[in-house]
Amino acid sequence: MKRRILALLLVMSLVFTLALTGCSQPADEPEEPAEEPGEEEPAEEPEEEPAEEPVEQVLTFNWNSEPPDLDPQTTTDQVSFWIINAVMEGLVRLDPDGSVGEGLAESWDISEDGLEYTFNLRDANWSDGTPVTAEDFAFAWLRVLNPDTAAQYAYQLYHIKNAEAYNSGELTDPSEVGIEVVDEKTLKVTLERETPFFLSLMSFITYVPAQKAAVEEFGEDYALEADQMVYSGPFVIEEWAHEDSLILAKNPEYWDADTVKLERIEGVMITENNTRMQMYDNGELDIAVVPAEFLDRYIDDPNYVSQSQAVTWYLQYNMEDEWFSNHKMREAFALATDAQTYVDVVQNGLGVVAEGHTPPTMTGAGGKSFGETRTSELPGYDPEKATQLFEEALEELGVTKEEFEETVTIVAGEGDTWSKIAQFFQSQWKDTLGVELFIEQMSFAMRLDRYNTGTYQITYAGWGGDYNDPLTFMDMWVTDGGNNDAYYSNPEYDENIQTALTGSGDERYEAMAEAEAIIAEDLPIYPMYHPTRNLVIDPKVKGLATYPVGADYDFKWTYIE
Amino acid sequence: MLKYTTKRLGIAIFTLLIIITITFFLMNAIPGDPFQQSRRIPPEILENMKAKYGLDKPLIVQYFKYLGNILQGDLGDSMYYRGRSVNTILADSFAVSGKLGLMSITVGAGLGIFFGIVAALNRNKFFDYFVIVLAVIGVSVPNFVIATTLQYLFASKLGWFPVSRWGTWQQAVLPVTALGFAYIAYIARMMRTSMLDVINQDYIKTAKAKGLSGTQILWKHTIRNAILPIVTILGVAVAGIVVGSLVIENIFGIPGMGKYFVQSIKQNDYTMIMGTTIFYAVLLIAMMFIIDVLYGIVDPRIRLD
Repeated sequence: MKRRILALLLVMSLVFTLALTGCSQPADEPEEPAEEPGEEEPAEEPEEEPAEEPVEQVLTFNWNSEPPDLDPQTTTDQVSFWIINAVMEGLVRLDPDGSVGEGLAESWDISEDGLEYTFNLRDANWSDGTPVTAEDFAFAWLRVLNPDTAAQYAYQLYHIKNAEAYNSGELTDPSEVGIEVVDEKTLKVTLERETPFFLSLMSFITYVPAQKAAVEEFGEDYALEADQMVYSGPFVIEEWAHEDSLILAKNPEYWDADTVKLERIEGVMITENNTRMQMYDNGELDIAVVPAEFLDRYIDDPNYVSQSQAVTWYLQYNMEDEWFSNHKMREAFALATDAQTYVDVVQNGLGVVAEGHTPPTMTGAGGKSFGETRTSELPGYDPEKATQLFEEALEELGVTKEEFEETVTIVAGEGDTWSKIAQFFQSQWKDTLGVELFIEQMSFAMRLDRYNTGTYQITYAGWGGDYNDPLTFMDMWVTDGGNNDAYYSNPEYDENIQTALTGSGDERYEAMAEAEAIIAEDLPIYPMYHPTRNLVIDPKVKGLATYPVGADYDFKWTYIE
Repeated sequence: MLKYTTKRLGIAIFTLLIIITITFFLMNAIPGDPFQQSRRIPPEILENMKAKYGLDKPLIVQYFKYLGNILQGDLGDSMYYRGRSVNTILADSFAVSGKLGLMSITVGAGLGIFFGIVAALNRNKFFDYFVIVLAVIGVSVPNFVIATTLQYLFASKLGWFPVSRWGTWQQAVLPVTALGFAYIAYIARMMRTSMLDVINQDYIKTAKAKGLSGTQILWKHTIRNAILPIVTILGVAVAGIVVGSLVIENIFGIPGMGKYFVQSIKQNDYTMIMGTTIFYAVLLIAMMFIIDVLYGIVDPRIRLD
């Protein structure tokens, strides 16, 4: 068994190697036009009515894999998010430009102190024709918070009053949670503290409603099959062949069905990059994500688009490590790392060099983007200064280069891409600082274990935003924060984040810009880059909405031309 | 035969129990739990989740509870695919992988044995060299290279077959070829060697001396003896191939079983790790038993008692 798995893993890594090396085709090779199988018999086609034939409103899409969990209240993964976003709708829905638009709520009132949200629901139906009520939302949210549901994303609801207490079992009476059904079409939510991004959070999948009758009828089997779920979104799941395909059809009961033009989305589950690209080339897929190793082939394609994503990758130091608690040491490693070369060489140019921890596209003060309002600057590549700082740090710590080299390792993930990444850092630091650090590659679970126990020195990590507010990045590094794997602690930073949590308006954004400056100074992490999402989209596909955070895609406005 | 079967069954159950025990405790020794994600789960939520899947109990309690469930034929629910039972997932995917595997091994063993025989009979002639070259390619070129090449040539360029997916016979041609190719090569090479070995045996000379015809010698003596080592490896090969190939199934987008063997370990999907292990172990033990019985039929010298 073990050997079999080892062999499989080996073969897998070989596949990746092949995929990576296989891409080095000459870029100037002329692209052969895909041969249409039907082209050979054009003479037989009757020439009547050539125009006015309505195009089939069918989109072919790749879900990449089987969705592990389509129950909106318990799911956490990307694929399930894409699908649920198409078949479910919450109180709000993001507009194509990323701003908060109407969803099942047609209007809402926010109290002066920002603690009470009253949502007025529109006359909308579930896919079975029954009306969506405020009760469906209250039921779904309390279901998330019920400890028996064991919903992993329950903490996304912790902004609601007493939600955390109820979820952790401290409170047993759900009626004390700040969710109130005023009447059939009115839902009142009371928050724990002022949460300026609460409205945009209403588009987050965990917050979509669930029909009580359906959940109770199907019980443990809810959302396990296409017909064991009731839908509130623009589409319904028509057919779900596990591990093979999942087909969506337009939901005639959807309140805004007139806007929805697509009749069907035929989704397959293809994991292999090479297969996916061949299917796109053959016209079997309308949209495909271009992996880095295929970039050369598609970058000049007119159908190629590159979009920003709210994701940041950064070097992360263990602030409690005896060497890396030294500021000069951290600065030396930051200055010794050339982020631009990293993006160009390791990521094939598919990304933007980071100017801070928060991606520039997030919202910032005065209606501008966060990038535009950023005041701080990260230290840039400076090998000479890096060497000098490194020598000074070694001296301060009373350690020789050899001793340092022997005790410090680079903790990295497994697989070929990770080898490439880790080797880049290794060679950069060898060239500039003259130390050759040992690379430790390990599985994700093991890496998390090392982070949790603080038994690492330097690593490379990434973070993707949950909602469109810089706080989804900035609250990571507060003292004892759940995701603060750097073990960073700075009261001044914490204070700014507290302002961002509870403050309002520009004051919040300014506080977070200030917190960014503190990060740039203290360097518990060194932000490297923001990867882009790279797609090829068949030109007949119009109106595909894509977002840097959350569910990534929205097909509500998509149509075929 | 009955005594033999009972004895074998006893050994099989004991072997299985050991496999289950070792896997269970090894699996729990892997750092992390099934719920690990890059977004850290607040401790109180993690406790809820562990309680739901019974992971909050002491390991030994979990172990006996699991054994109890297996006795009832229940492999539990997957911890990654929420709510889906491991029984269903394995049954669904085995239906696909088993079919693909059997087709591949039939093609592989059938052509392999045929090529091996013909090569041995035409030793050092053209066909022999052809088989040797084929065997070297088949054994040394990994199946993903063959698979992607076939896919590129016959699906993308020529458009004879679909690029991927599963269901129609057209969709089966490329994956069956890719998966079976290595077996053709492997078995042809083995069969050839074995044939040459047998041809030089004294009993073949005896058969010739007593005036048996060439065909009779070939069928009754040469092939029957030469095929023994093939039968030996075929049992293990069948067990290995019907549980799916991660690589081939990924490349052709086939909803088979192969990926669960690797994926479940990466995801710490405990019930799935146990499920795939038990499934494969049972299959392997069963195949070995069948092969032992087959020995008795192919080789009368072997008596089962």
